[in-house]
Amino acid sequence: MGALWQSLAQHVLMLMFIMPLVGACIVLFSRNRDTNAIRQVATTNILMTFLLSIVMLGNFNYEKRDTQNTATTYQMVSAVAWTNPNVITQADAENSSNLPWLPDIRISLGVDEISLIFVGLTALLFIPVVMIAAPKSIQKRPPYYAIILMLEAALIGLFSALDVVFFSICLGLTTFLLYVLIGTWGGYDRRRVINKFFVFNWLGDGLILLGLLSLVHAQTTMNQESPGEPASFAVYQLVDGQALVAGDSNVHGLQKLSRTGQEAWEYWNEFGWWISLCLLIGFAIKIPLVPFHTWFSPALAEAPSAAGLVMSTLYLKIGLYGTLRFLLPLFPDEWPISQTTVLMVASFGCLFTGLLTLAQDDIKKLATYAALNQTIFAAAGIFSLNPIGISGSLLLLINHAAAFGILFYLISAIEIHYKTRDIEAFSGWFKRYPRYSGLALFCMLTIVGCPLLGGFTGQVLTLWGIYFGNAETAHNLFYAACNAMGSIFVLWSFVWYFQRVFQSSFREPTLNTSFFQGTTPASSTTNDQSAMRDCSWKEIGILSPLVLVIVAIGLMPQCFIGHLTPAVEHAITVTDKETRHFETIVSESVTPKTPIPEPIHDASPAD
Amino acid sequence: MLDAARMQWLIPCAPLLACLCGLLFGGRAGGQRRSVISILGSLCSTIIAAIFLVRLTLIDDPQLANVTAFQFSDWISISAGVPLSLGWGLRIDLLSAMFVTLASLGTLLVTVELSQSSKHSSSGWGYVVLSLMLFGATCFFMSTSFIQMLIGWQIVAVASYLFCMTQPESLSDPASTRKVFFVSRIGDLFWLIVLFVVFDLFQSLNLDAVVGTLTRPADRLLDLVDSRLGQLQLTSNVRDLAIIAYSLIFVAAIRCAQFPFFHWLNDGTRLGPATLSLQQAFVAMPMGIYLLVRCHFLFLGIIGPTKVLATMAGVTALATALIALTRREWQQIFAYLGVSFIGMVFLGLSAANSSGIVHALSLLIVGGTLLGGLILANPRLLTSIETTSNDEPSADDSPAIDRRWILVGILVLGSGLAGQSRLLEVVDYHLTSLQTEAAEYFSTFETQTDIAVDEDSAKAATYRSIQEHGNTYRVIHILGVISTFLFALALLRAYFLIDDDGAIDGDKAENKNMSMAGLLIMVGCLLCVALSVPIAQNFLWKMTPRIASTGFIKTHIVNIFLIAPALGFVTALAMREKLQQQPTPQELNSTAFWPSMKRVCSNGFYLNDIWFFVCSLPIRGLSQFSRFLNWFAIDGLLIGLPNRVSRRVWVWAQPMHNGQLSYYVLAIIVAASTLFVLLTQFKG
Repeated sequence: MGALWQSLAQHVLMLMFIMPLVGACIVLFSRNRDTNAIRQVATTNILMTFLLSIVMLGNFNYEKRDTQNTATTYQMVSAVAWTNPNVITQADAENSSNLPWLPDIRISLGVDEISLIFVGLTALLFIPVVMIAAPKSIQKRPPYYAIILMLEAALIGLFSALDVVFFSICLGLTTFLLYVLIGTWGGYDRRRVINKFFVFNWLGDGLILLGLLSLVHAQTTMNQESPGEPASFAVYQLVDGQALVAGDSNVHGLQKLSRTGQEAWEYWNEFGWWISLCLLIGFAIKIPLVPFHTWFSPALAEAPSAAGLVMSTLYLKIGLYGTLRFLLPLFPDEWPISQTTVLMVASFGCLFTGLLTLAQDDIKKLATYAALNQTIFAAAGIFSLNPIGISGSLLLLINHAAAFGILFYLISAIEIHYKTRDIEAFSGWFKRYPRYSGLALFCMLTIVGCPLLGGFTGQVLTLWGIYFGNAETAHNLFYAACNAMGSIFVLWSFVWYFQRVFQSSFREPTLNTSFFQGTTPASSTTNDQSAMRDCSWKEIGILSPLVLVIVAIGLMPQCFIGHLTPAVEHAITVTDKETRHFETIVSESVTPKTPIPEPIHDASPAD
Repeated sequence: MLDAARMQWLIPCAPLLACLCGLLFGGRAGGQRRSVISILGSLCSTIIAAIFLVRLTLIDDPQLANVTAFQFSDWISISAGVPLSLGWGLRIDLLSAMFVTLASLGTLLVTVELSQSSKHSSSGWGYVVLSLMLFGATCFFMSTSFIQMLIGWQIVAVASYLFCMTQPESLSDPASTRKVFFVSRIGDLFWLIVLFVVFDLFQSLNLDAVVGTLTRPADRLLDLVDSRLGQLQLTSNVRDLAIIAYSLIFVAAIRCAQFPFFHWLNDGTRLGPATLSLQQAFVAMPMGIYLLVRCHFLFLGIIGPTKVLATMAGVTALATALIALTRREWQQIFAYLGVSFIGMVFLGLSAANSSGIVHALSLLIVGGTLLGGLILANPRLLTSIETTSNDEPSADDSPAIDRRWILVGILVLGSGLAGQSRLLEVVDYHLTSLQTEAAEYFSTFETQTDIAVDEDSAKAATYRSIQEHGNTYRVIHILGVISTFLFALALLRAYFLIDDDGAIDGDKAENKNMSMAGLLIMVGCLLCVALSVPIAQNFLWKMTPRIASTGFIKTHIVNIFLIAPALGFVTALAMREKLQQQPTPQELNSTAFWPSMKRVCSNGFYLNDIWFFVCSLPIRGLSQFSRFLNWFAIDGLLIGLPNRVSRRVWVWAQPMHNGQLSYYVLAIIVAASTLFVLLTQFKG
């Protein structure tokens, strides 16, 4: 029993990845076309994945990181060779002619403190995603649920991928599945919107893939100590030069490699800038930072409810996760533009999207721009390069996922029933639908930063980080004020929205079909106003874990920060150390003959 | 027997428990049950706070000395970079105990009053929110760190907003409550600045740690400045301290509706629920005062913010008392009088010494209780609650008000005698002593050269500032004296809005004891005025030569101006029956000069006409100014302008967001230009 449990704990991530894929196959190839049966299969599958995520959270050793924070510590690592099943021996490495021609790409999964949070959130948020009330036209189609399940697998794979190619594959798969969801079951204007969604995101995915492959190439090129060593696609080898599983190469991380010799340094100095530019633009599109944000709102507005929930909560996190995973630790100094400029862009974006939120008369678009605003706010915290700001941003992202998960769940109920999202069409819902209104009020309060809820903690710490910046920048009061004003505009929008929709005398729109033309069956045009009901206790039960997450962040943020800080601190420590080193090099490189920086003599990764 | 430390826990925990119990166990018909739970929570807090207050003031309890402040939890602790540690804790000292008692007692009264008048027909969410508000207030008053103060501050703001939402529609206008909430959030921005700068300066947000960095606050202003110089290097940090001080003043001024941020009060009181006004008087406004008192050690040595505070307070005390005179609604009259009271309290705080602060606090308690009593005694407000709760109002349900009015009369006496007069006297005394010290200091130098040599020291600069600006304080405080008269006049006007049969403003009510209550108010006003005139004159005679040299005639004009309202009051009393012929609202609001003058010159003048000449002209100027600021700072900047901007941006950006070709062309041009500039910069 103990061995079984140990094996389960070790491969829990792989199981979490496979489980939804198996469920998708069952849903697709099952002969049973009963709507409830399909839905139950999908729900059961997602609940089991969620249970596995609890196992993952329980099995994670939060004390494992060493006191020096010298390397990122991934746990529950499990890898399956994908393209090259042969284990490379030392003899193969010495004799390059014996090396396999296929690159060593693996389905490699593992989590550290940061990805643990995102994987857990994915498993949690897919419960409301699959339980969300969908139009009957969607419910009857097995591919809908199959795609939902595959989407979960792709996101779990993305947030836990330890192989850069596998990461890119999951990234592309996520984009493709959302493209199919929106394009097939989206709103009236979906055909025009998906083109833009597709172009922007595939451009971003392509740039990210290009950047990541360039990293691998750079590592191979700069590896002077053991030339001919096969290229490693593992994240941990690129960043820290660690060897976690059998078959890992014996190489340094990219930052160390770039300082091992004159040629390596010149190479990195020349190409590192372009690689980081690729990654920065790619992740900026995914975040999405202004001015790359225009694909997000129309796509989300036209997306079916479940896809909208995924986009607003999890898909928005991909860019920031990638920034934390690749951009910060790999490029502490080689920012294509200065960190202050990126911070300025993010702060302006926060202000701009806050203003756009204020301009919306559509419930879903209002929530969309608010979600975007909060994400860009978190991005500003991350780009502040302050550990407190980054920790706050992560808290803000968790709170964001939970709050907007609930909010989009609620909005979908209106959207599906009334086929309209016009704010002016609703009024006085607080008396008629108290539970629905209570949940919406709760979301609003946490989004606007009500104390003792998650939004407050995240926003204060993020602003803290933006204001104080990193050790080398002056205090950024202006940027902090920009972000705070952006949040206040969101607050104003929400309070106004709440006043119009939930207060005053009751009013609800008459049903119409214009909104969902092409997808809504004729039967839904009946004027059955009584069909709209208040949130059931079952729905409240589904959403209650998200409520608990928000309250927990607000009341006990240390539970999260205590676990997140080591990972954040590791990235910042590396950044500080390397930045100082880099400055020395730059100051000396103005002389005619560039001296070689001191090689870093650390213990071998294999040791 | 619980020891003191555990009892300290119960003060915020009792309302929190009441809130949670009301939330969870209120049930469907939970109005009555929730009211009982809320009353119990408030009562528990009140009793324990009162016990602490008594023990701290009357009994020299050694046990309390060890438990006055303690930390019980680390809320956030980040060791990376500059270590940040934010924790929860509780502090109970005399100041905290006094404010907690005031807040919990006020909440108890409001809850009881609300429960009696609403007849439990509502779902009772208001009681839950009231408990939450008390929890936030007690957290704020007993906090040990700035971050905890911010949390308590925001909880009260959010609870006020929620409270408005729970009130019946006829009592609560969503737009006004939204505006009040929004203004409060703007104040929170200044809070964040305070947090950042304090941490930057002291590397801690803990109050004790910050105080420990400074020295023990001294009674005398100059001692504090000198002692700071040793540890904090005031000259280099004076800018940061000034930022903290200005931010704190703005935070408190916005919460307490001080000039020029008082205009939102108009919406809040006219359209918000009456019980919210009560809570404002009992909880929200004392929070602003407490904030300045608790943090006064941070900016006592800096002249600029203190001067701003004094100016703001003086103008507020005058302007809002004037505005109160022109109002015909009781709720608004009391609200503006409350702000005027707070302005007087701020004046005391601007005296920047312990005596001024102590007397400002005594004035706050008397004034807060007075205004609370006035609002509670206002039968129209209670009737309106009644009307909303029950569809058909019944005359039998009208509350008894005779005893309350007697209480109000007594409180008027108390406030007039104990509070205002004493405060003004203290301020004057302190300024005089400071100016004497400054004169003695400069007299020690034989020549101006010696002074110039010593000019670098902060002591000389402070003395010089006192010499130069001390009289400005006096003038500001004279504004306070004038506002005292206006306050009395406003109460008098409030009295004249009551008919002989107890009806307010033409409405007939059943209570016959109103005249007696009104008479008591008049007596109180008269005593207040009678006592304030000699004090004010004392001010004038004590004026330094600079003011005194303005001339005999000017001095006497001021005297006449001060005495005139008193004379007018006596005249009004004598001609009471005639004065009760109130003008119509149209007449009252008329700004026509000559018709009013004609009426005054003719036989049948009205008191309103006198007020028009004495008060309306300046008040209209101030009110317009405030309205402009309100439009610019609140409606304009925060409502109109961003809305308009965002709508225009949206109109412009919407086709682009929808993926039209023009966007891509524009985006490519912008991106290419940006990339070109960046590449040039980077490579260059």
